[in-house]
Amino acid sequence: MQINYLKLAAAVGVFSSLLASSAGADTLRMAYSAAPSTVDPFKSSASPTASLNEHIYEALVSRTDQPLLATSYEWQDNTTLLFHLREGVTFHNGAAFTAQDVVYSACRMMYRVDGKKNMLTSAMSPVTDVKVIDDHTVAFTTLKAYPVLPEKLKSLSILSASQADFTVPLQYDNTGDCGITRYPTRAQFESGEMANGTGKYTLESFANTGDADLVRNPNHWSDGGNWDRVEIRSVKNSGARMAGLLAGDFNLVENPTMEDLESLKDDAAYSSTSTPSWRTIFLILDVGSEQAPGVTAADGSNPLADLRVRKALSLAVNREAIVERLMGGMATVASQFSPSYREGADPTMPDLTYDPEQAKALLAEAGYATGIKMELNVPNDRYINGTRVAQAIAQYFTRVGIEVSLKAEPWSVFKKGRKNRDFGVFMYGWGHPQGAAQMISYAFASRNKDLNLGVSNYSNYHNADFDAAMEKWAVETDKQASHGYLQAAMQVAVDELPGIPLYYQHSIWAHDSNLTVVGRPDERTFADMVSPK
Amino acid sequence: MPMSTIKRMSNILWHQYKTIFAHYPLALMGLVGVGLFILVALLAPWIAPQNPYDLMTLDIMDGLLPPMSKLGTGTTAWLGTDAVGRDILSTVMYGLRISLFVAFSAVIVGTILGVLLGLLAALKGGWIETIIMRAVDLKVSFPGILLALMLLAMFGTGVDKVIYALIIGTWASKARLTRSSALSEMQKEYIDAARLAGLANWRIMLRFLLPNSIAPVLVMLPMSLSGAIGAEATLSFLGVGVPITEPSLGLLIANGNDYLLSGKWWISIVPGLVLVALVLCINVVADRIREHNNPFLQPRG
Amino acid sequence: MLIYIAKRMWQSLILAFIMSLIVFMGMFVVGDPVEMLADEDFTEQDKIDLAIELGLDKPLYEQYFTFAGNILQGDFGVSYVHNRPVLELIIERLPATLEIALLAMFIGLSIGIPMGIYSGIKSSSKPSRLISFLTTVGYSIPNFWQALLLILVFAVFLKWLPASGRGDTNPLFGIEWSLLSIDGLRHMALPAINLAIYKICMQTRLAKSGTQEVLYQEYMTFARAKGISKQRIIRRHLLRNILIPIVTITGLEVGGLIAFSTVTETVFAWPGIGKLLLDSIHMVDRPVVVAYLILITLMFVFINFVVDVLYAILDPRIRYQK
Repeated sequence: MQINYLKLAAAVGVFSSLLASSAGADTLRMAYSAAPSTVDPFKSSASPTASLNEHIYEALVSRTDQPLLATSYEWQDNTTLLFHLREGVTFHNGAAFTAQDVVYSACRMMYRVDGKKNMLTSAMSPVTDVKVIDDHTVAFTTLKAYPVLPEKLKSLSILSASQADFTVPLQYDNTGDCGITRYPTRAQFESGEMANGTGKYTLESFANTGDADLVRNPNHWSDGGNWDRVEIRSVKNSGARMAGLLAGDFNLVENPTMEDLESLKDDAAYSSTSTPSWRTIFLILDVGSEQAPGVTAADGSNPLADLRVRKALSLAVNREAIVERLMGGMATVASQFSPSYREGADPTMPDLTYDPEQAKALLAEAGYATGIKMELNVPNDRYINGTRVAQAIAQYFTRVGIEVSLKAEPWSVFKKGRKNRDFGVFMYGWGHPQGAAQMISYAFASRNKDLNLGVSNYSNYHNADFDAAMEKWAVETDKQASHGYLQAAMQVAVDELPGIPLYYQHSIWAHDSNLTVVGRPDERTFADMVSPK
Repeated sequence: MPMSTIKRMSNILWHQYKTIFAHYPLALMGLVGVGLFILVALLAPWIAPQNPYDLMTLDIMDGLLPPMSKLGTGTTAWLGTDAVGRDILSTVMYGLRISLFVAFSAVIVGTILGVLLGLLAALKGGWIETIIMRAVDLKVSFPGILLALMLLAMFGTGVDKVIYALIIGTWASKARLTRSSALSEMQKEYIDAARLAGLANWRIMLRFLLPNSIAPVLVMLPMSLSGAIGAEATLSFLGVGVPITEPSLGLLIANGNDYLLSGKWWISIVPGLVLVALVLCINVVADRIREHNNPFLQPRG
Repeated sequence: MLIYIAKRMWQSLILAFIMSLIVFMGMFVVGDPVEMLADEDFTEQDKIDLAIELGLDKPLYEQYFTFAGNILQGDFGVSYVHNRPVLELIIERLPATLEIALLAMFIGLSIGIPMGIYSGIKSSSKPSRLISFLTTVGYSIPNFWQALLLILVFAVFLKWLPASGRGDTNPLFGIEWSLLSIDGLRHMALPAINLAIYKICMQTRLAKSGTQEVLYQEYMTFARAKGISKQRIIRRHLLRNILIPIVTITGLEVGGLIAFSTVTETVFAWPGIGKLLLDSIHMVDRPVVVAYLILITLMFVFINFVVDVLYAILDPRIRYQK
């Protein structure tokens, strides 16, 4: 049975590629800034891989809360999440999509292929059961209140149960056994043989260099993809990527540098699209340690423990100048640690201000008018214009009397340093795919294993009010109420500054000017963001 | 040292200089160029309009200004500024300083190390030679980027770490070269004579082998120098070079690359041209010296 | 001779062992694979589980013994990032590097040798001086900058050639080659030129100095005195004599091109092993880096061995052992 499906899929593929070559103009060629590593949707959540996989597979709900394979969902009670599934959906191989496929996908997510965990396994650990209610209703049951589950499940790409052997009905368990006698192998997934989703595009070929060719899925439940054919390549060097656009190799490239964009301004053949993303760039300050690594004061204390110093640091930075001069206007001055436009955040919080005189006064008042020495750690190959921003911050801190030495290191070295808590002050970015509370719940809450709070509290920050608000947020399934707790916690964080919010990064795409691009805030590049004008 | 010796030495040098460079205008130009670059590098702190290391005077509001613009401090940026507001002219002068310092230190130390190990290998033979020569092989197959990254991860960023990486990159070829010329030298009778006379190994090495087999290495020195400048630039381009707050020419080029397409050519082109000019001058001199030392390469006609 | 070969083989195995040890520890210093692979929202437990999966929970020496034991059984391990056998990855990427390296070398030899012979024979002529100056310029431009300038000129301003990627490939012996398609050749052009410029300069110089050296030899004077035509002298005597050092150096240079075209491959997004190495170093993908460098070490040992033998043939004074 399965083999027939495969043949059918192959036939569809060949047919549509024939179609595509006859209508060559409807090909979209995109250049990613990093290479997708696999077409197994559960192996990696890294942006390029997830971007590619989104063409092939769909989740129940999109990352921007649009209904995909589920038309709606609700919490039946504190521990039961119901999804109502779309009817009339078929997989690329022709199999019909039902609730069983959701259970199967959950099983596959928990199943350790070659003994290796998939990306959502810990996020799904509170899930005790995934049950078929009827063909188009499925229920997730959790051990305890787990309000972020719908957010987490946005990464659960739905696969077709037809690819495995099992005895009906599937019985979910968190080892992924589920009564399944045979899963497709890792190799079958990685080669693309099992790349069978419901997405707008079917996979034609995938090479381990990350190159992928896709063709339009003519049977998609919506009116389907915008393009007959999509070719995804990856070019790491931004200059070469941009040159590829200008040379006509690509129709669209992601993450051009601000500088390159200026060269497009005079050229009518190209334009660019910039969309505020969910990524905040900020500094993390070690406020809780006796001695913050790399930060010293004349009197031997940890100056970062003093709120006045932290306020001074925040006031010393001219965020607007950074946004205008270094980011070419393609960033938004921060008012808090999550983007103010991210769901759940309070959009009315005022932007953080620049006042070097007050900063100096605060430092003097705290007894640190001079004598603070600070190492500022920053990855040199990670964030848009990251090292330049870091140099600007070093300038600003220097001007209020802090002696800064800037340490820019490759991401691998930087990450190891951060893990070893070698940094008193470092620059970092957080993408907030799961809502406005994500970063602060990880970075500023006291460690709470049960509620999964404070996992990466490199600030060593502990505040009772903040923790109380976060603990309530962590178990609240009512959206309004949960937003209230989140905003209360955020207010504490912005008042107390265990870190310094800087700006919200924008995602940028440079493309042929005959294309319309509706950018996404989650830093992914998807063919259907793009349409011919 | 008595006056007469100095006089004699300088006479020899002058004579050497004349035979090498007289009648070779290109090589002479190269030599003058190298001299000028070194002078600028040495005098940078006094002649540069701005101190690009002083974060107090830098301002991103002065960033990306085209050549001839006025900075907030009132100085004129003759060659424009980069994104963080550094005057390109000043930064290039300081960058020249870093590039030359790094390359000179690395080549000098690397060469001394390489020559000594090469001599040792030739003289001792046996397992010592095996170890040294296999270490040379090892170095050849070890990528510089990984080496630099390892040093950076272990000891942090810094100009000195780049020098260490380059020393490790330099010594091997010198050791190989010295060993092979020392081996030829050792076939000669005077070494046997010295051995028979009961001279200690290290004396033979320093007294006879060193002066007689060092010529090919010395001839290669300028080439190594320009090679080291290029290697440092590449490491900086790959993000494992000198610190961003003390940019070398290579790092300046890498920085400016982002702006090449945008019409802000001065950020990358100026340091790029200076680097190429510097390396070119050194290479022209190097060529001439090599030519001079190879009797077969005398141009005829 | 046999003993010598056996000895060198033994030494090269030790060398590969030392290399693996250094790189193994080096990669440990450079970063933590778990940190690189972990998502931002991984908990401590997730990271511990991941470390166990990758075998990174054990002490370093134990990890090394496991690794070395596997290698002795021909198993080079599985890439952390790509989740595939390392050897498979390297072999898959090798053709792309081989074809670009060989094309660059071919360009270097076919332009460099004639230019070198010409300027060796007519070393004082104007064109010869120009050639000699141009080769010096070619030597002096840093490779990465040259690559970006090439892209700027030929891909962006003139739009003649694509700036990145490998283009279409066609199969031969079951391997995909860009050399065999027009689109592929167009994609190869810029990276190959970028690698070739340096090689042209080098080969020109080698050929030039070789030519001048040969022209001085007595038999050349003799041949000329005998009235043999210039064409014939060049073909019969000159070429054969200057080829020896060129072949020697070329061997090493091809090795270098294959192993470390990292910068060129990265700038032009050419999917060869050099790019694989650089990406793997940045991602702390230890199995790939260690296996890669072991293989490269063995390759260089082999090339060096051949070179040494050639040296020995050229200069009998150099001995094998004391």
